[in-house]
Amino acid sequence: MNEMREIILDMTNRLLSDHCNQEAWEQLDEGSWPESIWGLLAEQGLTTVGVSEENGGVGLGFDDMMSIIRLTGYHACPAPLAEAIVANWLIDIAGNVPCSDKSTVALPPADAMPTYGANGTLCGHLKGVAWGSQVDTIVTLCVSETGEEMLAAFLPSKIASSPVDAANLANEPRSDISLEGDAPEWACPLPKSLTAHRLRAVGALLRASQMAGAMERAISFSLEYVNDRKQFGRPIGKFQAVQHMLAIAAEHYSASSVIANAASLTFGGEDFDFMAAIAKARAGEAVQVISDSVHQSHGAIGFTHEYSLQFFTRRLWSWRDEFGNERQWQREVGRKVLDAGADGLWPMITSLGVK
Amino acid sequence: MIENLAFGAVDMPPECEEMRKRVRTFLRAELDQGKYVPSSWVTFDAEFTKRFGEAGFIGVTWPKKYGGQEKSFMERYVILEELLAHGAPAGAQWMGERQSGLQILRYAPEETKVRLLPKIAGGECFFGIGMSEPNSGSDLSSVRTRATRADGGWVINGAKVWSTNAHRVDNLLVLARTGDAGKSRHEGLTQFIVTLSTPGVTVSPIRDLSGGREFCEVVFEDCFVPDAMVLGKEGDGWGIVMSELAFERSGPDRILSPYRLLVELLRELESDRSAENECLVGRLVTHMTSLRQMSLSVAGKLQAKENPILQASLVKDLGNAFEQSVSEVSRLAVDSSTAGTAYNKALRETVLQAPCWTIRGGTREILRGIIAKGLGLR
Repeated sequence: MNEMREIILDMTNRLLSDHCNQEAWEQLDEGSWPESIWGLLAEQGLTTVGVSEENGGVGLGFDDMMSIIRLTGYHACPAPLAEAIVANWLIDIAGNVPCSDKSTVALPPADAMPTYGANGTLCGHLKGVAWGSQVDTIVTLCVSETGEEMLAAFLPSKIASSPVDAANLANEPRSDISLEGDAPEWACPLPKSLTAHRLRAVGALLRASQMAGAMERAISFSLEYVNDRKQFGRPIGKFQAVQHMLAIAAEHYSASSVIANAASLTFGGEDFDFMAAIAKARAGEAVQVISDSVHQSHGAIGFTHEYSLQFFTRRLWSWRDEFGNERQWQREVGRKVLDAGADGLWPMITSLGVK
Repeated sequence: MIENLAFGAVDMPPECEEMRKRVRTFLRAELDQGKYVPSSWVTFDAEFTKRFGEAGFIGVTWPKKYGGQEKSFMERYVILEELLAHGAPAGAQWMGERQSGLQILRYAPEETKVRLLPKIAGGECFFGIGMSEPNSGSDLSSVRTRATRADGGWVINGAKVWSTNAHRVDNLLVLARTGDAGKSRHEGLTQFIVTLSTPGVTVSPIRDLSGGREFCEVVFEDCFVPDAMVLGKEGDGWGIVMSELAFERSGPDRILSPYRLLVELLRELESDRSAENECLVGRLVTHMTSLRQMSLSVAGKLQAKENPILQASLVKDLGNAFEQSVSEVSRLAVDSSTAGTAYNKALRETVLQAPCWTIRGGTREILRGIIAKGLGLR
């Protein structure tokens, strides 16, 4: 699987590198859906990397899925590849075949899950669904009338109400969708190992992984810029203030990246929810320091729309608020820690990820 | 560039859990028998170190023929972090185990290895570091302590400062000038193992603001050091010192200094479960966990015989920032006037110790320069 992983990562990186560029980013920023990019991604099977081999996917492990998802952040992919990978993975787990590769996930909080009625219809409100109006299928958490957590897939083109379309700070499409007695394509109880809480943690890690990629890219831009830009007769990267600023950014990026990777490796074990919470909290907190450093080191040019940096920082500012912000996930972590008690901290920390 | 930062996944082999159980059993027994009171790991306790060495926990990565056990750096990491988490007094063994022993293993003549390493591993021989001088701190290559050739060895003259526990250890690793600094400014330096009982050595503890007298000034007046106590060759000093930095900077002692305070903070907040407190605790543990992963990753690189100086510098700087934040967060979350004795003691000690963490072992400013250089900033 290692070789396969390398091949797919390499291919994804090259594909995204070739097609995720200034022109593509600007196109999305102006509100147009990148059909051509999407076609290429689907053609190469990248949207179904998490689907089992017997169902036509690649059967990549969870951590490898997150590595690909990280690349979507690194390249600011102007299409819901990350969301589709997870959505199609879930569709496969639920024993269904993806209706089309264009899909996304909605992971509403516990107090806002749509209900799946006894009559087989969905009622509720989904807020800020990523690419909700652009995809063919939305996979969502829902809850039965008896309180059983479920997974359902519906086609936005088939529901009664019209979505309220909006966008995040990076102008990625986000839709508020009302379900008013709409029939899903299918609905099933969540498998035992995948609670709604765990799925929200998956969503958090999805964004955390993207954020790590975007952080890496933004800092790379900065390193290149400060080595090129000359003022006072020398590259500004020679000034200690600039060096220290970027060193600090690199520290926070490293922490975010390392813990996101570590969290992805715990999937399937009992530590996953905790580690994913930590990853999202850490990445969320890192955004301020990193975006500050990358913008500061670029000076005015980095503040322009024309320069690429803003495609990355606007995504960081958006993604830190999606699938739970750092406050929410910190609280999650703190709650578990305080439940374990002062003397429970060390055994808890040292057993994380231990098989 | 930024690719240089790759930390790598952490792989803890199953032996690590076995080692953890053994160390915990040992430390619990020590605590149950009242053999030590949990405090800062810097605490010097020769008896504890002897027991710890006899139990086989010091120098575990070294070859068996020198008293080691040829275990992995990951198992070593487990031992160190358990020591810190249990507030064990590891001060006597720390320098010898963390860096001096490794340097002796790599650069000392065979007779010195055979004589000293088993004693360090046995917890009977203690080391300190003699690098900084009154006029040479961050600018280490500017040291002026001089070693001149003598019959069968060298004669050292000069003064070292900030040597932790020099008044209690047996030997000091001393960086001295033996020749011209050359174009690079880094030539002409040599590392010596100086036995502190040698005539001509005067050690004076220096009182620090927290009330301790842990670090010292060490003055050398015509102090003789035999050839067998030279590390590497004459002039190798700078390279040797540089090669130990990754070991010195990346360990759990750079992220867990205020661990006792963190535990007492949790104890205080267990009965004050506001949203704010839960977030505060969650944030601290988020930082601690991610730092630990980074630190473990560096241990993995040491195991793979790499020289992760960039990653080690990064871990220390980010780790120190976290360490220094713990008391600042705690004091606003807990009312000291109603808190327990253990909490208040830990808070006091932490606030008074905190400033030195970003100074010792490589200052924050130097580390950030190293990181910047590692990132390719010219």
